[in-house]
Amino acid sequence: MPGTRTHVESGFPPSPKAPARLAEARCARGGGSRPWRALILVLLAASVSTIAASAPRPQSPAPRIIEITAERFEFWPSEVTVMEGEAVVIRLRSDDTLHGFRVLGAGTNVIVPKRGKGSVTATLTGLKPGRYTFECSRLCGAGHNFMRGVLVVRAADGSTP
Amino acid sequence: MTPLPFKTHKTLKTAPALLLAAVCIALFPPTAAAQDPQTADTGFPSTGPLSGYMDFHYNKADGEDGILDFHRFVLLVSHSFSSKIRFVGELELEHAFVEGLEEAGELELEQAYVDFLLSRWLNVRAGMLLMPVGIINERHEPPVFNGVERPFVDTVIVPTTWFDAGAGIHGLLGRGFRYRAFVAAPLNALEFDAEEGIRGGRQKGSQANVRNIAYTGRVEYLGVRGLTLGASVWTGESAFAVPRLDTSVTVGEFDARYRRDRLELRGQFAHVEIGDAAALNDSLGRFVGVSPNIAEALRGFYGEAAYRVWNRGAPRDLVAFLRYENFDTQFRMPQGFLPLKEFDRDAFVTGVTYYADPDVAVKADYIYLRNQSGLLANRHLVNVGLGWWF
Repeated sequence: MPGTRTHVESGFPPSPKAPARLAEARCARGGGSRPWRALILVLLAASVSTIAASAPRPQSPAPRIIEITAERFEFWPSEVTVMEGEAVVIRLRSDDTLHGFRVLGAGTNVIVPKRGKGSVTATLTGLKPGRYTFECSRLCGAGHNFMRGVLVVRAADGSTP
Repeated sequence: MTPLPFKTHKTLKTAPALLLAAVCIALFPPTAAAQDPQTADTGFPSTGPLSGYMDFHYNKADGEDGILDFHRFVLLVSHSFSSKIRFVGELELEHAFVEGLEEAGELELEQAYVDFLLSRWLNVRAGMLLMPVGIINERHEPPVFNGVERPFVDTVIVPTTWFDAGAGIHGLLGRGFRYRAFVAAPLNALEFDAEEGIRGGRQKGSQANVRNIAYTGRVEYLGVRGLTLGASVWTGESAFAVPRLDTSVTVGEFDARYRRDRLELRGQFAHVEIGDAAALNDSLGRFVGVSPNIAEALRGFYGEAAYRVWNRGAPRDLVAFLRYENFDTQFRMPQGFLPLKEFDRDAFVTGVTYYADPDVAVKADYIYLRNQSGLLANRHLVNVGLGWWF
């Protein structure tokens, strides 16, 4: 009887008369313990599912975060290398005015807030191996068109087309 | 003083060929696929927002009345015909007012060029160009530099804003290096003088005489965080109005900027060589009756330290700075000419820049300006300014 086993396994010293007492108790309640049993089962199931959900499971690696600073009229670093298939988040902040960050050929174009106004992130996924030019996409002064850099995506074997 | 080891170009047959090659490359650019994996980018053509910067000053020299001057009102426009062909223009009104035949203000087309962005390492630019010399000439928006007025060295040794019509190439070299190399209209040596050196000689792309061509280039290194190193050269035969003269002018310059945390350091050295200055003085003396006393060499340098004393982000953003400048437009005279020592000057500049916004700078400074004449008094100047970029 599961309930009894549970009770015993829980460490209470069994008495030779215990089964009889339990049977008496069940008779006295007229079988009214079933809802409690159902409740216990539900709680047990919930506990098991919670434990299962919190157990470690295989996950994709966290994206690599690359910090880039924009300033008239340069990015630093102006050359960034990532691996093909690598999940990359580029976090940009400005040391002066509004800038833009556009990766040609990658569909990425974000506005970098002014100095002290926070940062912006751009997620890069699915880029094929190659060299991608990134540039400021918001007119930021006389040298705006000089503000460029290169994103190198290496193939899995380490080569760069 | 040893002359700078810059070669003076007298044979200019290569210049038109270079221009022609630049235009051809621009008109028939290689396909994108041949250079990198870029695909067609969306969002082109596009016209950028109207941008610009303004400068409003109060200047007071000891013993003189104060001056209020809306120094610069500059508008920038840009248009991208495609991801590879782009236009940038900069129109400047100086001193708020322009009247014909009077020295009041100036309306200047400081930049108006088309960039043909062919690859990272080779791009072609043509039109009205900024000469890539020094820190300030290409970085002259008011919030970018300390001091109400631009440094003296960047005024009388490197004649900012220095622009002219021309064409050339620019790009990234890798490992943190980038370059630009342009050909442009030369200076007009007939407009040189003792006090401001070559500044008056800028043709400014206004029906500029190109019997001779000037060559200019700059290399920058950006490979270390916070550090920018630059070296520039400009050279050109500048006496086209007097063919018998050989007035080659060469400007050599190097500069450095370094920023770490709250500290920013910057320094610049510039040297100008003017060939055949004696003959130039003689010729100009015959024109106007008095020799302009133009030097063979001009030299200037400065060092600046700035510290962000309030660093909580605008509007809690305050920078204090100290700058020393030494500039001499009579640094070395041709034989038979004596230097005018009042043009051998140095300046101590100190002040603050308060950023109400990262693009709005309220500036105040004090300048002690000395000269070596022994006759003319040194000067004390106080300046207050408001400059902004949008």
